[in-house]
Amino acid sequence: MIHLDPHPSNPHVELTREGFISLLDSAVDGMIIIDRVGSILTFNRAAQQLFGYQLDEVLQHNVKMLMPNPYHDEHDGYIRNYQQTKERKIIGIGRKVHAKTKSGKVFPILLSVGEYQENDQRYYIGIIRDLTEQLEAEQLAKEFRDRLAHVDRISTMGEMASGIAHELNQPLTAISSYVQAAKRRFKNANVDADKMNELLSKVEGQALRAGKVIERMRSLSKAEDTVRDRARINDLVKEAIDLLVPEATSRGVELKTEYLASNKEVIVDTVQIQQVVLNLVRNAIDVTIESGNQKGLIEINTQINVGNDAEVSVKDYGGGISDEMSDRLFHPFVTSKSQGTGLGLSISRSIIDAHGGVLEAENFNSGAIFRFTLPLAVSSDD
Amino acid sequence: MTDFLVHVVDDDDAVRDALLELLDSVEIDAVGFESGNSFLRAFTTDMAGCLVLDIRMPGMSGLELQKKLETLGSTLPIIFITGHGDVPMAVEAIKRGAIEFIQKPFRDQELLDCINIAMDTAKASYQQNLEKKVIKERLDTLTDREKEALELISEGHPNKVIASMMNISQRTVENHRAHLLEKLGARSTAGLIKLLVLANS
Repeated sequence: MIHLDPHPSNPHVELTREGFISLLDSAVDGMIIIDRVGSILTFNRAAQQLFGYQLDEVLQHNVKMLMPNPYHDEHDGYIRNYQQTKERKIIGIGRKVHAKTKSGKVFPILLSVGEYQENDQRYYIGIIRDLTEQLEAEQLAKEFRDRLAHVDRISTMGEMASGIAHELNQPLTAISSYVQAAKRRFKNANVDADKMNELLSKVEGQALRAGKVIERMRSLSKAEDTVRDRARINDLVKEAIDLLVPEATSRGVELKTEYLASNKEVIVDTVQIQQVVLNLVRNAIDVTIESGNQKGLIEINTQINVGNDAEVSVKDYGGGISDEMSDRLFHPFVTSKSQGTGLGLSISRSIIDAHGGVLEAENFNSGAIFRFTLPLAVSSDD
Repeated sequence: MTDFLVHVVDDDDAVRDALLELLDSVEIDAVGFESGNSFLRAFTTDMAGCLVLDIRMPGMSGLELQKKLETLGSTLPIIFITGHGDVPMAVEAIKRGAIEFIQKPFRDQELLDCINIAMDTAKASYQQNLEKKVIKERLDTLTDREKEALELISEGHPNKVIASMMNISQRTVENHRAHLLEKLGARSTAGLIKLLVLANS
């Protein structure tokens, strides 16, 4: 029997079995008590609703009937193992696992387990919270973020089109000149096999260079489901910067980069993190030009910060963020530019948040520094 | 004989190399520079030939290099190569005296024609500079009185007037005139004046 102690002056109130069952039935979470071999002893109303079973369909049955594999096949082992080793893997901890309804539908739950002893018998009590809605909401938020990020990338690419066109035009110009050189050598019967081979190899190299530009554009414009993977922080930043150099150059701004000596690994959605770099650096270019700063310099660094996270910083000399902007900097649709959606920084922040990092801005005497962090991949191999 | 070279200034390694290959295939001597600054380091006023210049470069742009060379007294003809979006810059370059601008990617013949024009211009102005130099050297051998006489002759005064202005005899004016023709290597008074015009051009 369960003993409650509602008032210090009234030391024990005994709850009848009916009272106890009614207590369980009024809970919002599913509650199940099993014995030491896993047989179900009580199964409250919330659990009945959650799993779709009538009470008599589950009583005295092994609790593994509520579990999909691999839990189903291994649950007896879990109980035995705990009773032998007393090593707690779930009791008092709570874990996200999956459960299975009568109709076979698998759904996510948060499961917490407690234990108690009565008359030399050991019992386990499981409390089950359905996470379906929470996970759906999280998934929806992720889809929304991904879609907005995609919109932002497409709009960024539109703005970068002339720079990208220039970037493609360079290898095309080189290819055309190499080929014309080769043709003229043929025409003048000035055909040396080594020279021809050299020219053709150069053409090949430039065709691959053009292909890479296209590849980078394609990956930026991709809308498909985003995936996280190991990536090297320096490589990731450098690729994004390479895309920006033509635009910066034509606008008279120099991009100075300084990379971490060891190229550490992070686990990220590469395209989204590159999008953050693009947003920050393009903002810095705009600010530099609007401020009319003669220095025309933007510094991009990668480093490891004091918290042992990877950190990327973008520093401009554009006079800094105004007081009126600083409060709302990361709000959506806030922009100081004549053109632009005002989405860049707010999307950038939500991307970095979703990666477990932090995006912040601060002023220094002649400009602003935007920096974001990313947790390092575990067992980074260098 | 001075080397007439095509100086190719482009920050893109491949574009620069491809241009040099193209020029090499038609046996035009050329040399490449990766930036405006690296060209300026090599630049001297004796340099002969022409310049093929990328308009869009990090650091010093093609236009900035053009302005800088102008202040340094360069007479090298300039051909600009540009991307698609650079037409306004190219127009400014032409206003500042560039021979032509060519959009990338270009037909080789288009570039080679421009280079031929630029080289002809370069050679003509180089020849003119040489002559100018010779005349100036010859002018330096004149005495002060001869220079005075030359000035009055070039102003078109007759001997009689010059004689009275210089307070000498007409005979002496004749002598000065003969010496001037001889020293400057001219056949007639008209030729003398032509040389003066060239020297002062």
